[in-house]
Amino acid sequence: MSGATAVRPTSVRWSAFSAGPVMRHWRSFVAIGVIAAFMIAWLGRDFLTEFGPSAVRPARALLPVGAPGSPLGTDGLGRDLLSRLLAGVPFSLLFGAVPAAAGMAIGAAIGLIAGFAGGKIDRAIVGVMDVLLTFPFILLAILVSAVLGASLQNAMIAVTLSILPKNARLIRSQTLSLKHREFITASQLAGAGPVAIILKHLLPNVLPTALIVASTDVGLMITLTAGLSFIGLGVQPPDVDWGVLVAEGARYITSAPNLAFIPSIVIAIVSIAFVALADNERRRRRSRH
Amino acid sequence: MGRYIASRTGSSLLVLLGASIILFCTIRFVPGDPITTVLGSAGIANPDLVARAITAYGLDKPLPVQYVAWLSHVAQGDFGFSLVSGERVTDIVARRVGPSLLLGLAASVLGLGIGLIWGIAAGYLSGAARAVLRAAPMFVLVVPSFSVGLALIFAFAVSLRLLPASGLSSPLEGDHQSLASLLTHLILPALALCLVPASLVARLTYATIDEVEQEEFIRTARALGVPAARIAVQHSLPNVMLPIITTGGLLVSALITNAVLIETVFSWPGVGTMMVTAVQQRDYTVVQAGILVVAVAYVLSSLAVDGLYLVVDPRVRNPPNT
Repeated sequence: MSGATAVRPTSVRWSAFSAGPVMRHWRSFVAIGVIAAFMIAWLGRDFLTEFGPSAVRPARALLPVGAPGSPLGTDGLGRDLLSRLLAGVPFSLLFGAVPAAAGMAIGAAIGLIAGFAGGKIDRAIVGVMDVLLTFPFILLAILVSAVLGASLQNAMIAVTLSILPKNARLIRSQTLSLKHREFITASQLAGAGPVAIILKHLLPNVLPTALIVASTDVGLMITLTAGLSFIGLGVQPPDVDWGVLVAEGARYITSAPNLAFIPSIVIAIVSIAFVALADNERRRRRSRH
Repeated sequence: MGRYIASRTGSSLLVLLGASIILFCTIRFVPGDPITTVLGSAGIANPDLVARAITAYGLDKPLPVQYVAWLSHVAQGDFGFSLVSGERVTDIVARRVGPSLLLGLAASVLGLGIGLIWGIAAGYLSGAARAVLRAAPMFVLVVPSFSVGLALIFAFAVSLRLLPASGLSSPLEGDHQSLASLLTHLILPALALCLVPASLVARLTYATIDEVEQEEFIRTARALGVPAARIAVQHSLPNVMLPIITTGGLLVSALITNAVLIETVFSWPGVGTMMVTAVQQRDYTVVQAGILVVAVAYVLSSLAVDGLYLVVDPRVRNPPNT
């Protein structure tokens, strides 16, 4: 291939290696980069920070941003903010990701069954989901925390229940539109049972939508669950997530606003990374059809 | 029309029934035995006393009977006594409902107003302003509302010293609020709380404008030479009301969830802070009453929003005979 033709991305093979996809999907690349950077920083936290997340040093209390050894400053007990932010990475990410994944898995199962079964089962499930759809989830979180005690696990259960109805409805409507397509009818005539049809034919077809919606949910859930930690219903001390850091920083809002604002900005950046990833993928699928 | 009202009211009652049953049942998972609490560790050793207490409190009756007895007390506003202060729970809740309603209403009005203006601007402006206004709602949804509250406190209370950050006293302390003090305390929390509903309304508004602009009646009006502003106000915007009403339940729900966070940020003496404190103190009776009151508020306001359907949509008011 001569130099003159190589410039033009004429063949499919060549365009796959050119800068084209990167340019077209720069949003996804930036989003994945941001999320990966936080994970890598967490893995390398011992190299990046001088002090542990719980190391109390009164002599180093309330250092400003840019202080030697504590680039993001320290809190009222002299604990390093960067170190605490990195310690919060797994909690904040899992607190967003686990409910989003569980809510989609259970919601998809309910939606597939309702959509495929139809009739009375469908009407009953839709009735219950419609009632639960907009119920304020924070009441559930408060109730569960009051009765079973505030814990990360209980908060995750409450949040999962809150996004379940929305997902079940979405997957049900997708199932309904697929149900009467030829390939489903054909496999029914070939003697496939309902379980086989749901698992082999319906599930693979709703999966892309499910993954995209779940990715958006991870982003929104990171913000939402940070709120639960903020009011003390989520991650419990000595563990920290970014919502706990904002709550701790709120006490020093007059003297050291960086303590509340830096974790807030981190929550927003990571949430938007997940949302942008889903958004880009959704746009790509739409343009392809 | 009658059918629509009946089905909406029916499902609202079902939500409340479900919520009350769940509340009644979960309180049984609370650690500790009520009889031990009433009799004390000395009394529990006397089997005769235990048997009498169980009969007196109706704990020997079947669960549904106990539920009905509990519900009839709750319906009369009797939630029992706070486990921490010993005060009547009804009195505690009554003090907190006013400030919460005030904050909720202020944020709803602000949110609807800002959201509509925002959405209309995003719908009709062009160029960079359009792109920014259309991207902004997503940003508002991922920036935590409590962080927005803290940012407002930092800007207006700490830096500019214009408005108070907190300290709205409850009538508990005996002093009455002057209207001016109430309003200055209300501005920041209402502003922080209105952003989430505002961005949801803005998204609905510009999406509806996009859709309606494709319709034939708009094209006809344009072809007839009706001015653009008049097309927008008379033909386009009335269509925005329907999707906003349809998602009314979601808006109310988002408002309630964020209100609990915002009340905490601004130490607002409302139902939200009451519930958060009660959870920390394990004051089960107060938590129970708070949840039930908010659930009732949620159901009633969703119902009211649904009622607007009747006003706005003639198709619901006079359904075609089929």
